[in-house]
Amino acid sequence: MSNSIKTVVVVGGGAAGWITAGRIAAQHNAKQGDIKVKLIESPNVPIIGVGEGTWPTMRNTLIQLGISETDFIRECDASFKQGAKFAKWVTGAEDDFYYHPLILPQGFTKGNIAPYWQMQKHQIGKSFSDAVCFQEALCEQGLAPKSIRTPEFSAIANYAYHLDAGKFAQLLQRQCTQVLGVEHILGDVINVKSAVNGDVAAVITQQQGSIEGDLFVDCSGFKSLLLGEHLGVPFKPCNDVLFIDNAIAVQVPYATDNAPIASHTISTGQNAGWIWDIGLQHRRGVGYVYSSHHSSEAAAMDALATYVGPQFKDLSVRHIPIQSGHRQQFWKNNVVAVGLAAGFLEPLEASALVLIELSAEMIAQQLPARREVMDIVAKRFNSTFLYRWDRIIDFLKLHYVLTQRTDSAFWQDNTDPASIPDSLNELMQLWRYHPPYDHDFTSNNEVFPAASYQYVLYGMGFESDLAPIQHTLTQTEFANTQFQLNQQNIAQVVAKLPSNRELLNKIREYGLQQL
Amino acid sequence: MAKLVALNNKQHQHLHIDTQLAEAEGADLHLVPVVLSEFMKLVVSYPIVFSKNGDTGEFMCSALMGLEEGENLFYEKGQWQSIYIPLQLARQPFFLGHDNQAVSADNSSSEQAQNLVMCINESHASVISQASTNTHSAPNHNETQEPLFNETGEATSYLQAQQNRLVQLLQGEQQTHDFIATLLDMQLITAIALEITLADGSSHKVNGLYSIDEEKLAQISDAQLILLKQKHYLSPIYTLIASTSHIYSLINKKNQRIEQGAKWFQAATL
Repeated sequence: MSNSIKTVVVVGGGAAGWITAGRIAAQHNAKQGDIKVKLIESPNVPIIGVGEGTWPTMRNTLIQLGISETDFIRECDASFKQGAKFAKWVTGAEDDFYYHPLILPQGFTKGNIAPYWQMQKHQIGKSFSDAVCFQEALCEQGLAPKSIRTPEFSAIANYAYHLDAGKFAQLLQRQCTQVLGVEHILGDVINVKSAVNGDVAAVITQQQGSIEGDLFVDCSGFKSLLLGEHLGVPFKPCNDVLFIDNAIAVQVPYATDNAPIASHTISTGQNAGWIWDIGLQHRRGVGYVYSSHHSSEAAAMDALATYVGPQFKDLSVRHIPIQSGHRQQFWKNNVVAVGLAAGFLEPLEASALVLIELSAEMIAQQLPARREVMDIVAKRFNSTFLYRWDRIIDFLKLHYVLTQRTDSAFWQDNTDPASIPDSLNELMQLWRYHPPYDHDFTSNNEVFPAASYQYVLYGMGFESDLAPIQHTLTQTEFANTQFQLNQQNIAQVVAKLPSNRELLNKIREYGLQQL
Repeated sequence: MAKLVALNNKQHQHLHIDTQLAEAEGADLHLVPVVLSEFMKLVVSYPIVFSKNGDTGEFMCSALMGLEEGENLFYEKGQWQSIYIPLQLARQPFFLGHDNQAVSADNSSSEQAQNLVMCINESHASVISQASTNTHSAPNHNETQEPLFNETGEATSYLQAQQNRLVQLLQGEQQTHDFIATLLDMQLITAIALEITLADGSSHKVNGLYSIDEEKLAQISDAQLILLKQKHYLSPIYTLIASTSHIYSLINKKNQRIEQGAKWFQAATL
C-alpha cells in the first residue's frame, strides 16, 4: 500500500464491477500502466443479473468504454427502450395506462406547457405524455427510435436499452481485459487484511493469495463484502416507504422469430406490486416484484402465470429476495461500494444500472491522486449519492402516492401519509398550487428531472389548483403552438421510422455506421 | 411490378428499347448510385457524394441530382440535360441475374459471378415489342428506339454496349465497396452540413450527405498515403472532392426553376 493511488482493486465481476473497472481504466490509462486496475471475480458465485433496463446514459457509458453499439446490440441480445409504460397504476382498469418517455415535453426549455395542458385537456382529448411528446406514439406503434441510416449512438427519438445482463457482463469483461488493460483475477475472497488506519490493505483470495491495492471497489453484490461485512457500514432499509421485498422472474420466448418487440418497458400494476415486461431480441424478461406482507408466494406465482399465459408452466422461475434500501455511506476509508453492494431498490425506473454508471463516472473522474485527499473525495461522494438515493426513493414513491386503486391493501397502504418521505410530501404540497417545473430541482446531482415528475404526476391524474396563479398563465399561444408542433412531429416520425424488430434485425445483418 | 427474365435472342429477338424512356427511370431521383470507374465522367456535371442505402444503412457513392428527395435538376422536359448519364440509369432496363441453376446451387461468390446472366425487365416502360413499333410508333419516336438483335439473332451494338455497362457496374460495385471501406477505416468520411438559401429567400437543409474530410486527408500517415496510392484511390478521392463544387450549379439550377415558377405566377396574377 502506497500513499499514491496506483492500484485499484475491484471485487466482483457483474455489470457494476466491469463498468467501474472499465471507466477507471479508460480514464486513467491502465493500458499504458499509469495505474493498475485489477478485478477479482469468484469463479463460483453467479452474477444476479436481473438489471435489464438502462437509461439513455448507457450510450455515453458504452462510448467511454470504447464499445461499438453494433457489437453491443448483437452480443447482448439488446433492444431499444424509449421509456416506460405504466399500466393499471391509476385505477387498475384494463385501459388505464400512462407513459414516462425519454424526451422532454415539447418546448420544455422555453416554457412550461403543463398548466395549459391541464386547463385544456378535455378539448385536447389526449393524455399529457401524448399531447406534449411524440415518443408515446412511437412506443404504441412498436417503432424504433432511429433508422438503419442513423449513426451509432445517435437518435431520432432519445433512447436507452434493454439488455441481457449476463451477456452484457461478458462483453464488458472482454472489452476491459482485451482493450482497456484491466487485469482479471479469478478467485474467492476469503479474508481481508487491514492496515493500521483501518483501510483495507489487501484481500486474500483462496486461489491467488493476497491482492494488495490502494483503493478497493466493492462490487460483491448483496453481500457487500468489504463495505458492509468488513467495515461494518450499516444498511438503511427503506421498506417503510417502498414495500416490495420479493421478485419472481421468468424468461419468456417469443411465439415466432418475427414477433414484435416492445420498444419500452411495460410495468403493470398487480394486487401486491407490479410486473415488469422487457423485450429483448430473442426473449422477454418478465417478473413480478411484490410485497410479501400483501401477498403469499403462491398468489404471486398465480398472478405471474396469468400475465405470462399458458406457457408459464414450462418456464423456470427464479426467486430473488429484495431488501430495499442502501448503505448509510458508500465510501469509507479506501473502500467504495457500487451496485448491489451499495443498495437496491425495486426496478421501477431502471435505477440500478444508472446508479452504477453515475458512481463509476464519479470515481473515475475524481479518483484521488493520494491517500491524504481520499477522505475529502469520499465525503463528496457520500453526500452526492445519499442525495441521489433519496431522490430516487422519492421518485419511485411518487408512482404510488396518487393511485386511485382501492382494490387491495398494497395500494391503500402506499397512500398512507406515514409512508411518504417528508421531502416528497413537501413537493406534493408545493405542486398543489405551483405546476412542477425546473426550478423545483436545483441540485447539480438530480437524477430525475422536473419533466419526469410531470410525466408521472399528470399520468397519475394529478391536478394543481391553478386559480391563485391564473394571472401568470399568459402563454396560451406558445403552449398551443407546442401542442401543434408535437402533432406534426408525431406524423413525421411515425412515417419514417421502422419497427423495433425490423431495425434490430437490420443491425444484426448490416450493422450501424459510425457516422 | 418488375418482371425479370433472362434475355435470349429467340424470345426477345424483336424487342426494341426506347432509350429515352429507359433513362426516364432517373427522372425523380435526387441520388443515383455510381461506381468508382465512372468518376471521371461524372465530375463533368455532378457532385459525387456518399449517401446511405435506405435498406442497409451502408455507405455508397452517389451522384447528387437534386437538393431534396424526388428532385432531379438534370432531368427536364422529358429528357436528360447532361452529357453523361450514370451507368445505373443508362443500363436500364437490363440487369444481371442468376440463372435458375446458379440460384439453387450452394455456390461460392466466384461461381455466382460465372453464373450471372443478362436479364431484362420485360414490364419496363421502355420495352417495346415489334408489333407495337410497326403499328403505333411515330417516325420521330424511332430515333430513340434501339433493337436488341439483328435478323440473324446477333446482339446489336446497342445491346453490346449495355452488356459492357452491366459488367462495368458489377466490377465497379466491388471496387467502390472497398474504396468506401478503406476511407471509413481511415475515418476520412464526414457528414456535409448543407444549408442553402435560395433565390426566393427560402432556406433548406440537405441532410444525409457525406464527403471526404479534407482536413483529415491532409493529415494521414505516410503508410496510409502509400496504401491509397497502391489501391489507386488518390484519383477518385480528388475527383470526388473537386466534384463537390457542382453543388453550386445545382443551387443555380434550382434557382432557375424557382424563377421560372415565379414568372408563371406573375402571369397568373395579372
